[in-house]
Amino acid sequence: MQRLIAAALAFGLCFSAGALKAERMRMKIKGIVALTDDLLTLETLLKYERLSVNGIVGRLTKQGRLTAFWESMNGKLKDGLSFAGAFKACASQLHLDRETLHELEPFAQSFGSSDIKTELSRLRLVNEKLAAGGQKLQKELPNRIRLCRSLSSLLGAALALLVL
Amino acid sequence: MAFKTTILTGSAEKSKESGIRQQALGAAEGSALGAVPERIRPLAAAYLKGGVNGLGPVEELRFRVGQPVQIRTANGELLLRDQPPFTENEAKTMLETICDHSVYAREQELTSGFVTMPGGVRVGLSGAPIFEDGRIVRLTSVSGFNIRIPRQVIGCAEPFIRRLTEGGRVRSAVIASPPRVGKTTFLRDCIRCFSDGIGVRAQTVAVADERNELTGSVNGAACLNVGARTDAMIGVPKSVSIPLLVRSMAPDVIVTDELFGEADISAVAEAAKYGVAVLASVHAASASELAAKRWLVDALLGGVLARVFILKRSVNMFDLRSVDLKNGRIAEDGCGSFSRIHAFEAGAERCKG
Repeated sequence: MQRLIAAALAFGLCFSAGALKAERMRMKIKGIVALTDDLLTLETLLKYERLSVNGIVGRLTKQGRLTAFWESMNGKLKDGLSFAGAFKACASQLHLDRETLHELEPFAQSFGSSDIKTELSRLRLVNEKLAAGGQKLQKELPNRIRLCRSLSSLLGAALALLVL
Repeated sequence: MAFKTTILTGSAEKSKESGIRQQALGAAEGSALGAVPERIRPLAAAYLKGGVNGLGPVEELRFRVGQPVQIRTANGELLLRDQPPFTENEAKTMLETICDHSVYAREQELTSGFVTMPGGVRVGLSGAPIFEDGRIVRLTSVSGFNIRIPRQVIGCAEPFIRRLTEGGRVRSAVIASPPRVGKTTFLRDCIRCFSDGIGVRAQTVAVADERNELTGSVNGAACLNVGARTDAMIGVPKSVSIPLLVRSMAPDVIVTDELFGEADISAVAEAAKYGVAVLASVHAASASELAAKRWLVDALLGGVLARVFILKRSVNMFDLRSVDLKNGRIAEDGCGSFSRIHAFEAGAERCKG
């Protein structure tokens, strides 16, 4: 009886881990999509209102999708940090992988230090990369989720068998 | 009516009667200090607070890549040779700081060669701009900074307001003087007086502030005291802003700095057509220099401008001379209408009388 329970537990744990991983993938895509939307809003504010960095971040705390992230950024900017410094301090809240953060780096490190043409082109490039990455992930997501679930189920079944 | 008397180039203690001035200077000094590299900040703070020994209060802080920092006062200068020279990295940081980490948002100002910071601090810039189609399109490599501390002298124009008005209304006039005499300071205080009704019935004032020197605005809001009934259009050529202000803001008076040529004077003429008085300044040290400006003489003869004054300054006093137009020419003196008001105190006494 105890072995049966242990086997069921092992299977359940592996299956949950797989489901959790799949959920994380979904969240990551959601995060990228939300960030892409916010960067598009940022581009509009930059292009048509020519707001300062503080003004843009302040506006994104109300209009953006990643409200909590922009609120933290706003706090850091008010403490006197530059956009690059604030982004470095708050980037972990975005729940993005290293690759995506690396793509964001050229924009985040220099936002506010150049003329409007350079800023806009840098922002467009980041948006394109993010959007492409997001689309790729979205395309691959069903397969990846299936793979995750299958692998975790198989691993769970193997563990259960071993226990039994 | 009691008039305040303020020493024009005195130390901060000498102008205790002007609370607003103290406040404006405090904000300006804080703002200027924020832009100075950290290693020089304590030293700069000491000079900004107490002035330079024997040379009076600080007027400008100048930074050039590879050179020692220069501190200029009304009476001299000080080179900080014992400090390491200003570096390229510091220049980059300074540019970002004065632009509030938003260089793109200050692009228009940058291409004009200056940025205005909170408190009305004006930072002049030099470097290697990108020049296209006959104009500067970008200024990103900045190597020289001139941080100018605004010296708003509250009350300096009060004794002279009666000279600029007639029957409770402002009359169109031009104030001429050579550079560094205090035209802008004087005009700014005239704006405050007109706007707050000091020495004249309160007027709605519109300021065509092409170089943002009169109002020291940040994000369109004036940082310097220009009164409660003042509207300003910043950073736009006078020929564009004056007609706009006349149509949209219905002012009693338009004040503008540095008239220069036909385009400016036709904008002034446009305002005059609608019965709006214009107070402006021009660069000229004497009547003969004024007479050399044909466009100005034509405007005077055509009745666009009613009067011309020459502003002079000795250490602690302004001297405003009216220059009269006789027989189609400008005469500096020797004619009946020549008038002169000496020190603030003397002017104040006359106004009281």
